[in-house]
Amino acid sequence: MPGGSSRQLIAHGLGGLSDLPVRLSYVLIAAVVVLVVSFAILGLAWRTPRFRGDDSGAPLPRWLAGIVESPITRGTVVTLALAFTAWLTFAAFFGENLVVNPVFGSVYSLLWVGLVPAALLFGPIYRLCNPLRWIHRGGCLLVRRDPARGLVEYPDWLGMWPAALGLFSFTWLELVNPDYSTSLPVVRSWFLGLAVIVVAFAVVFGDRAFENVDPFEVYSSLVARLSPFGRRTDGVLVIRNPLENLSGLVAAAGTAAVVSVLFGSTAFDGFHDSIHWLRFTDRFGAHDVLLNSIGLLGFCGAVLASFCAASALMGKVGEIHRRHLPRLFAHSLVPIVVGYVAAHYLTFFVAIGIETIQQLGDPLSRGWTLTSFASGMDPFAIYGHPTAIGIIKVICVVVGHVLAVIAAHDRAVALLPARKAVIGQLPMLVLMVVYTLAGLALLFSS
Amino acid sequence: MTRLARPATLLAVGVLMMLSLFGCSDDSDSPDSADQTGTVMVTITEQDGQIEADSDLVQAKTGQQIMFMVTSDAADEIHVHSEPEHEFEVKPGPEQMFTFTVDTPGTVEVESHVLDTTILKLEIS
Repeated sequence: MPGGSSRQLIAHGLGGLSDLPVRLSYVLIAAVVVLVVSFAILGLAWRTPRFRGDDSGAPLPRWLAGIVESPITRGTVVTLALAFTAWLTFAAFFGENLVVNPVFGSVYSLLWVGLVPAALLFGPIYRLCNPLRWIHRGGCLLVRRDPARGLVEYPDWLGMWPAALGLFSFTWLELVNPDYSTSLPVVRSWFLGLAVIVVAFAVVFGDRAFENVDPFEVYSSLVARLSPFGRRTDGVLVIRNPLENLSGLVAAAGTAAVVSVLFGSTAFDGFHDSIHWLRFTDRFGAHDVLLNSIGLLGFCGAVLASFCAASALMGKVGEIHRRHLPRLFAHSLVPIVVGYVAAHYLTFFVAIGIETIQQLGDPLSRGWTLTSFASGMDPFAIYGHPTAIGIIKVICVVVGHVLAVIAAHDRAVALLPARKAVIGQLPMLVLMVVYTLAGLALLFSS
Repeated sequence: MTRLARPATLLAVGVLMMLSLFGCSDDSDSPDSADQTGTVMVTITEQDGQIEADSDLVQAKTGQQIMFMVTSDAADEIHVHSEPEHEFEVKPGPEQMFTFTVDTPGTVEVESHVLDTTILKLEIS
């Protein structure tokens, strides 16, 4: 592996190399398209709601549904996922505390970024594979308890707030200081802590806790709402318009916070690499963890606050309490998040993903070559195509934005009285334009 | 599938618009750094625990020679986080020269290992 020896000496987080700034001309073109298409949708699109949520979709062909539902397929996928988890646990406890330990690339690239394409392609697959669910299920089997039953009912007011907190804590671990993010004891403790907390929630509240508390499952299930596959209300596996899938998302308390953390933290990731922020934090020397924490919290908080404000500005909506409006529109932010995440992490995912596969063959850093099939691949080859990368990134952001605006529009005409339908959704539209332009500005400037 | 027609059309129009505009925009590489064969010089000064370069953001082409001219009052180690990486041993003294090239396009951080700070970023295109 080129540079392998020096990488062991340098503790600098993963991926010292990052993308070139997207060209100004691309950013300007994208900004114009965003503005034109946004207001075109507002003016031209339908006035009665069209998306039917989980009632929508055409059944998958019988043979395909058969394969997906078959216990053999599911058993194989789960076995592979659990074996992978076991392998990583092995590397985490017996491997060396070096940047080349596959744990880091697996966590920050394969898991954190990879769950997005996995959910887009296969739907809520993390839910099926979630190792913590299987630990809980195994424990329940031992003590002969129904995993669905807890000691008390999961409280509705708590909703997805625990997951929002968990996601914030993960992005904090990743972004606030490279000494934490690439320290094996720190990462190991973080995941042990997460496992204990999530499983404890499941014991107390039954396995409904996972879909509200486990940050990775919550993230994956949100993104899965943008996949063309899903299950209809009658339980049939269907293929459908991703926007109809998205409109079926039943948001709980805290869903808006989850989406805000995902968007805010990704934006902060782009921002905190800029030379100005680096210079600024360097000036305060020992306080960089504090400054980065404030920055991360500020970004996530600003997204949540502005989103709640825009929802409230939509006006009085029949009998619905203003307080519930953010969660009724939370689903519409998901495409913006996914588009921006795709743009932000594209090269990182490919490069660090390939490097991690190479490292996974040598979990204890002893020179094993179990994944030698990947050793001929150059992880950083993708950086050789900066123009194509720039165009793909900008298209991801714009497509995400357009889908978000359509999703919000459909929800607005469903909720708002007809004469207020256009005016009422203006605040949300303006906010989405602001988010997207901010995302483009970050891609341009860092 | 008429119910999908509108959003699908809008999306397609948007993407096509962008693609056509990208096509129109001048895609030839910007001619601002015409001296592709010349060496990019960066002066770096370390004094009293502060390290600074004459520019925070330095642009260069892949394969172009980059030279750091370092004046320092302490021993340090400068890391260039390119792929592959470069490391330079700095001794106390004036005008030490380090020359290297970067072959992979991207943004690269240059750090002082001892002071644990970012000195500058290289934009390699």
